Amino acid sequence: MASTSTPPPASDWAALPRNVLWSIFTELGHHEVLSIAGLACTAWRRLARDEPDLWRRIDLTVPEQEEEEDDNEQEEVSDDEEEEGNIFSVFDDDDDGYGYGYGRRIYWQKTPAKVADDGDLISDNDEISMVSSMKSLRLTSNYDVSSEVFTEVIMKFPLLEELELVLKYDANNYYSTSHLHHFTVRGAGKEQRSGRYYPRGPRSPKPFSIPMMHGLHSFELSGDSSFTNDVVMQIVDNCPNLKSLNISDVRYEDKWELKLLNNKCYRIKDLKLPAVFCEPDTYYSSDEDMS
Amino acid sequence: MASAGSGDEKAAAAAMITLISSDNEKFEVTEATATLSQTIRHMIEDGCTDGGVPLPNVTSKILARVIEYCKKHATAAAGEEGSSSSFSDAAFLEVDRAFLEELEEFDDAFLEVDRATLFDLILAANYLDIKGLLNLTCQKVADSVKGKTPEQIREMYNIVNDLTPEEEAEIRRETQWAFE
Repeated sequence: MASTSTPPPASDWAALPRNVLWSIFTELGHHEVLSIAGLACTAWRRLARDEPDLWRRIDLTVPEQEEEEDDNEQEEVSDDEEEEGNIFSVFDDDDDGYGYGYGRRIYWQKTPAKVADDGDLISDNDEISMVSSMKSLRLTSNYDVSSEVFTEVIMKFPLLEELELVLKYDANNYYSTSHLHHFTVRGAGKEQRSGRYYPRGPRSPKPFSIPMMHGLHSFELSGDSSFTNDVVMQIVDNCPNLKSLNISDVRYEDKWELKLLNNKCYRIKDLKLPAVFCEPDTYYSSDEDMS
Repeated sequence: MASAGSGDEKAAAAAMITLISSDNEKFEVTEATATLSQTIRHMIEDGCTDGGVPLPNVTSKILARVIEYCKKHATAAAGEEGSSSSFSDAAFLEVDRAFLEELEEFDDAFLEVDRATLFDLILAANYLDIKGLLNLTCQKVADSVKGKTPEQIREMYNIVNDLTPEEEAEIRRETQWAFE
């Protein structure tokens, strides 16, 4: 109703109790906290940056409309050209720190004030307590994430339980983490958008491999069909406690392979196998005109 | 303690608590209303509400608003419980929806306050530990902040920019991507 519009000198919004500000920030989401609220004043800044709970689960999903402007040259996928700068540029060899960022970059904060050559790295003296306590990280992006990034994420956040990443094709050799429960791998955006994709060839090498992960309960491969049966088999072998496996985007050309897989997965309660499998030839030829 | 008969419930519902604001105004509320505040609930459980509950952090103006909120939400909660037995499922759903809509309208109207009041409500909700009210008010602040620039936020909430230019430059560099 009618508001008495006397400016309130008494209310000191900068001095809100920590848990109140925390509630507000939680409502805001990570992006706004980082880019806006964190810039208001020192007190807000401090909480925005140093509150471990705020960063225990990070969802930095890139908004849909932020699409890459290139025209999906299919060859680009296959060569090892790295789009540095577009990728999350993060890590260095130092130990402690935590990364945050949005879409294109993760910023990595280190405890010692050591300025790295990389302009995207941020150094800071502040004591950062959460460091490796992050449990959930979702980085969905149209950009590729290289295997080093993944490896670093795994090593820096030993308590990580959920991880969703965009994967670069040549990624391999991941380190094991016993706490990781949910792992989603999405193909790069280029391919997702084209609806169908152009594979590097029917016998493309395994795009990646995973180590033994006894703690992993849920695995999802999505948005990209260049993952092969070998990859899936390896996942099933290396994750004995898998309860949920979603590989509905993996392409199977051989229905016997699929059947074999199905048998192998008898212990997985929640299994999503590819719904349709096409003959390779018809599949490729219909590529171009689909949008 | 006593077995839960309907007589006991009525007695509990009718029990009154006296809340005393910082400016010594007394408010009589039912226990059901008062216990929306976890802080007061604990006091009641500990049996230290005789002679009234002094709330030195809450002015009468704000306490009146808080009680208004608690009354409404306590009635809604009681209404839901009561109606479950006396209506058929469909009718119950209907009533339920009506309740929720009404409650939502109430909340919206409740939040039509100036920022100073909002601030005091937040502090009171926090002090009294009234989860619903705290969420409601924090949500309001978050909504008002969304899409604003840091400058606008400072202006809206009378926040003094105590970041040094260097710090600010550094933060801007960190978060540059957001403004690209």
